[in-house]
Amino acid sequence: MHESVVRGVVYRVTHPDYHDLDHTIVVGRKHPGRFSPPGVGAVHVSLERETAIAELQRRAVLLGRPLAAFAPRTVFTLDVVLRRVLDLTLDAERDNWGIMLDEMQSDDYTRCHEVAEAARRAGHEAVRFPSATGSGVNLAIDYDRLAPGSFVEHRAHEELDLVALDRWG
Amino acid sequence: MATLLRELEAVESLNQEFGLTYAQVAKAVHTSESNLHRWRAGTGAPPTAVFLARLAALDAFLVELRRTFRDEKEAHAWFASSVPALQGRTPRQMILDGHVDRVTGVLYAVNAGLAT
Repeated sequence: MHESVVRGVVYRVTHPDYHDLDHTIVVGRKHPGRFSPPGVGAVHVSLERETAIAELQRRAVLLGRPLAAFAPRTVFTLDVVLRRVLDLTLDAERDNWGIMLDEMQSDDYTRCHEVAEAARRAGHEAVRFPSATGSGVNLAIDYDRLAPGSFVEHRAHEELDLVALDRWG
Repeated sequence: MATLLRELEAVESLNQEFGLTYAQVAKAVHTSESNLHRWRAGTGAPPTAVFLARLAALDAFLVELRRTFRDEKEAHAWFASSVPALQGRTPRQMILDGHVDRVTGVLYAVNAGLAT
């Protein structure tokens, strides 16, 4: 089994109520997401700050409301070391796991869930995948089953100016 | 009215703040309007576990909705609007059709920072 290591700084943009990662996964178990199958509740982060913000902007479009309509959002900066990562940004790994790029950007999460469940069974603690926004990279982290030596820790946070984001994109 | 469970407070909010009739709320949790009124009044048998779970899902929806938008006006506007993530249906219609978890899920996704 090929495993990638991710070490460095990552970002997530959330409502302040979801700053707590344990709370995030408890609620998330009821609400599946990309590479977060039912019952799992993965924590999603982006490798780039701008990708995390772009994901929020895409979510707003999917909800049909401008960002200015939303309650305050916080950019959380986290330090991570993840030792058992399935890296689906690599062509070879996508071939190994039977998933194509367009399936990782589809609104139908079926294939993503299938691969995420298989990756969990194989001992991976996170899936690295290209953002459906068109640029950047995300991680879906199984925060409740990190490998020994792996960690995810808050480093800093800042409130986003949603009105300015609406104005300047 | 008898002391309300938190789950039943969601029924009152949907009726008084979001304009759903009690008959519509009853339909959303797959029970009769008379059952719903008995629960509200605290007479007769309380809701069984399955109905409590359905009522709790309505409460979870309202919590996530209020968390999402900056104020009640925006929340109400969204509730009645066509939503791309719901294939153009309104949250109101989805809930009336018994799909409250799906609606809560799209709100959770933006609040918890899930990748699209």
